[in-house]
Amino acid sequence: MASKELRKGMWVVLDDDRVGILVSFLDFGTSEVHLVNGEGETILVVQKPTSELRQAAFTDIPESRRPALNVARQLGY
Amino acid sequence: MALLVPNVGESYLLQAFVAKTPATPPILKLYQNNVTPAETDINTNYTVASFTGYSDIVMSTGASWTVSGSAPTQIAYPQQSFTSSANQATQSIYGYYVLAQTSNTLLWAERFSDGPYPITNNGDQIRITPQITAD
Repeated sequence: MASKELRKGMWVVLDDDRVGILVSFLDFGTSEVHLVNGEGETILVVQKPTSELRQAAFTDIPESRRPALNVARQLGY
Repeated sequence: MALLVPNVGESYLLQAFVAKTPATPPILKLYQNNVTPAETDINTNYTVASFTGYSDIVMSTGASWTVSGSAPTQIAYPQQSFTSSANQATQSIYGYYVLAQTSNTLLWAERFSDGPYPITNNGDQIRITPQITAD
């Protein structure tokens, strides 16, 4: 089972429940996140404190981008 | 934006690293859907470019990869070009992805940090130098 720690490429949820992909860890405890719409398309690039991010749940991932359930579970979703 | 090796790519690469499963030549492809690579991605999450003149590029010559540096170490393939061969309706290209030949396993993908790049005119070109850095 994957670690609960955040990692690059991970699906994450912000404090306001917007969903995105953690792209990179930046300076001063922040991260670059690419927010997505319901189709999994990128709509906005934001920088957020890493402490405000949490790994997305399986159902948070847009359906068109969802992996197989067994794969998702291995990655902690 | 740095490239991302998805979960399926990690598995493939580790198996090739220890000769459990031989690697096959990587195929360089452009994608036209507006996505940012994620760790859960597989090859079908990307929509390959289809502009007139487009074709995938098989990086078939292993000897063409050049290793350089140390901590970090890099390996790079010569610059590759994708060229439009006609005036056409604009197609926006958001990034590139690389598959393993035969299995079509997604090895890595990268979204252009300053994209998308529009392909409209005869001769429009996107150039990529495939490069991997390990540290």
